[in-house]
Amino acid sequence: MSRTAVKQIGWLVAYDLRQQLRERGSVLLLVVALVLALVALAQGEAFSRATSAAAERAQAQQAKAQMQAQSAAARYFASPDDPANASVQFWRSAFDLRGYAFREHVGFAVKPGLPGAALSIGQGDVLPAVVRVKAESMDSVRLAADIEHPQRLAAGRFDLQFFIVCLWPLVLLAATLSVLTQDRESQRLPALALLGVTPRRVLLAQAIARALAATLLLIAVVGAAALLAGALPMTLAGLGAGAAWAATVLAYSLFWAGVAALVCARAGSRSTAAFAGFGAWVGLVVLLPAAISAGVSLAAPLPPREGYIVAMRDAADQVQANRVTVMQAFYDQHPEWAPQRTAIEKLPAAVTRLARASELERALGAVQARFDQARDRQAELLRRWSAFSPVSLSHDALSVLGGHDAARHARFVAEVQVHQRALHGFFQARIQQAALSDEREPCPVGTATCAGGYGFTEFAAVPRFTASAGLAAAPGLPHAALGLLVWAALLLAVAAWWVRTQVRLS
Amino acid sequence: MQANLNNTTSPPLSARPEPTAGRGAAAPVSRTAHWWRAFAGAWQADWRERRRDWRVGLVLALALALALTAAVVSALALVETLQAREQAQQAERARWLNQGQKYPHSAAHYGVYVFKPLAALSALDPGVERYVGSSVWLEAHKQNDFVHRPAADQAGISRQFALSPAFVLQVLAPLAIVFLGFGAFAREREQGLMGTLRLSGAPLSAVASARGAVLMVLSALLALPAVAAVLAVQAMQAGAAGSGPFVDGAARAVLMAAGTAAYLAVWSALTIGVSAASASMRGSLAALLALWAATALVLPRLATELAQAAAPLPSMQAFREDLDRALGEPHDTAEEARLKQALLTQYGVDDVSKLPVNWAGISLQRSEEHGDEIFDAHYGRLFAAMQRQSDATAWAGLLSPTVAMAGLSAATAASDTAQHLQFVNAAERQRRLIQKTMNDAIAVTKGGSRIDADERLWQKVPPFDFRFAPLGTTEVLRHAAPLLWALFASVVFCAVALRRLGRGALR
Repeated sequence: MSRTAVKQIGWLVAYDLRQQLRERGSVLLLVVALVLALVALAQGEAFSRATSAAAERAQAQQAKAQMQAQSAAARYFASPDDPANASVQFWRSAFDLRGYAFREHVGFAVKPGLPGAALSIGQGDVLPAVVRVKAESMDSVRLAADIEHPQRLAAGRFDLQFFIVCLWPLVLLAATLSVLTQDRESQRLPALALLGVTPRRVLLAQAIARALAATLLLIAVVGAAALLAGALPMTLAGLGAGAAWAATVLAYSLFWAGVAALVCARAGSRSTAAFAGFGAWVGLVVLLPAAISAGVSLAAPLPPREGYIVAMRDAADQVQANRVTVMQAFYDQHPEWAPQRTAIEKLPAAVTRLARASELERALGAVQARFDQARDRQAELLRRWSAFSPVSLSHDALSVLGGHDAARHARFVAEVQVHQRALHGFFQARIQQAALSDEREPCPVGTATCAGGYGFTEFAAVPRFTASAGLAAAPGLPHAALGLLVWAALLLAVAAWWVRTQVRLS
Repeated sequence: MQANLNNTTSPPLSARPEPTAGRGAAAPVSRTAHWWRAFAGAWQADWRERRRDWRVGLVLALALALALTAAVVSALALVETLQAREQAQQAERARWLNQGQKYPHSAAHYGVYVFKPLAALSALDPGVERYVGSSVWLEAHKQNDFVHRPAADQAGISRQFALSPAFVLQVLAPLAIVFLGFGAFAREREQGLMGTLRLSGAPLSAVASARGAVLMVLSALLALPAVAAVLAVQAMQAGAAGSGPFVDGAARAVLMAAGTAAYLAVWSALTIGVSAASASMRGSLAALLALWAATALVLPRLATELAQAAAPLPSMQAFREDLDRALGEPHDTAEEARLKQALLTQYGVDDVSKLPVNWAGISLQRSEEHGDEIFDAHYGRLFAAMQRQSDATAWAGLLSPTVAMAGLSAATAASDTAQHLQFVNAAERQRRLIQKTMNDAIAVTKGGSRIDADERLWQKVPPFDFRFAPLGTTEVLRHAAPLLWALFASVVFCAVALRRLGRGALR
């Protein structure tokens, strides 16, 4: 491109942007859009703050429960014969293994928040960041849900992700749909041609410049507000998250500049362009993602969860009916814990409980795997089909940047599962050893528990959940953002080709 | 595409009323008859124009295809869910009855799962169903939460614009009205054809009503697939398990139909009004799209966000911590001792083992009732806060017809939060009934004996048969009022715009 051409484009862009600034309607729309973006940011920030507060409160509850358990144990074991301890019930006492493992133990797993968490809520309100972990099973994790008004979940969140994905294209279209069409209406194209300005240059330069100028303003305002309000931390990670978000928004805006350029290349007037442009918005933002979701749910349906419940109840009945066989198999695997004097059918429920729970999980493994596979199939189909929907791509990219996407939650659950197994193993070993000790030397009559038996004081040794560094690490620029750039380039190229070959000056 | 544009499709010129007809003049036509003739003429003209416009066909074909897809997907999902829940419910009942001989308190711990019934109307408007648990385990000592929310299994993008007939009717149908009607008067103004229209002598109100009615009829076509889906599910439900979970199903269906008609009328009036008030088609389209985006996309979300401030909800961790703490506190042991002593005195014995009733059963029931008080207090506060949020959100219905319609539609389909809580409370009552039946059975056994029960006792617990309470007049009015207000406001706005158009310059 020659220097003259560059100068010409610079002149075109500068002139056009000055003209845009003189249009009260455009400025007003931009101001309204920026206000809405700030409101959306505030919602995301409030959500992020509430999640952090819940996580802190969970950690505090966990620590407090441990302290209380330690002091209760210290009190009890100082004088177990104290008449005040006569009414102690082992099943609700933290200093008895059976009470602690199945009732009093408080342990949480917290999904670490990412620096860009406030920039998108995504599925964050459906997939909880704080889950209670119990030794017995993963149910408390799998079924965890935070308290939200169902209507709020159904309506969807007014966060920055919604604003960018759904509303921002409307602003961009309103700002760009008069490119070329206005020149056509006012029959300025021949005059411009005399100056050596081609319609293609007008179209591309003005569509891209208007979209970029508006988007850069949005990024600057939102970025500054996010940093000032603390929604983005003033750290390298925070700035990195902000930069990745800005790059994604820019790529998405370029895609919409491409849509506008294509519409303006074909439309003869601003009215037609408005009709076609907003029709394209409906098709791309509403219809295509909805059609993809409907298609995926038809192509890869999830089995009804009611079936899971029936299977779970059947399995629980089966385990209960075969409890002796189950325990026999368990002690065959762990002969070191096999009872010496007590018949297996006479073992107390607390001693067999974790083994039965393991057997239940094993029996349900196939059913759970069927659900997981169906969900994975859906996710895979969505990932593939989303390539054809730039709106879905941008939605995914923004979810990933906020750390509220389903894939990250699945990784979190997988890490929690590893921790839960460790917790299960910890208590299983202690309970079985305690049962052997109790069998050898039962507690004195009248005491609920004793140090040589089920008495428990190793609170500090109970496994705690720590998220991996990978889970806490901020993602880089999502691949979906590159997909958006490809789409933008494609649309702009088609628009340029069209305007070059098909558009006449009059 | 937007309206009739020329003389050949304008209302008949001879329709002007002649209040003081002279000799030899045509027979006088009353104002009303003149209005209706103008309406009929404008209707015919507009209808003919739209039939000829391929773009109308394209918009309608696309919208109908989408409405059909939404109806099929929604109906299939509902049928599958209903079948799965019916089977699971029957399996649970059989499991309960065939649990064999056991101590009643063990049976209370064994418990049952109950599943939320769904109405055929929820195929049209699933409301909050994807975001609330579908089943709950009723067991001793605990009011469990509802589990297995379908939303937890779905991808994020599916949630952004979940395709359902309600979405088509509440969000897309207004958009179709906007696209079909933004030029209703704006085009005539832009092209300088207002004079032709005014010369015809047809009242603007009749022309506007006719054009609005055409818009309504065209957009109402989008409801047909949903109606077919509901009828199909209803027929299947009637064949399988009886009348479904409603005692006032017909009234609800009529209310939903009337609400939908009113909603489409609101958008038709708004579209005609904005078009009449706009000097250009571009301005009309921009204003209508801004209105649509604000009321159908932004306000529903903003309203629920702001409602959170009206009655903040606790986090699950905080709620559970408080609840567990309250449940962990020992209940009034002195009162328990007094009760025990009173029983001993009443029966003239000195030990509970000598009582003709079983102290264990009485104590278990006392413990249940203590827990019930705590659950009532905690869940009561939570549900009251949710209701306050719902009420706060409903106020946004005064600003957004979509919020108003969504509230009415979900209420009639029993897929709103209030009716979900109705089910939650009914399930909890069933849990308490099971506990009381089991504890009473223990209590009537003599002394401290521990006697296993059998199917005769399990049969005493009736199957869980839930029906939603019929919608009362107050509730109907509460849900319908915002929509009626929207209808009134949009008609007034349309009338004002037409009056200004009638009085103003031809452009």
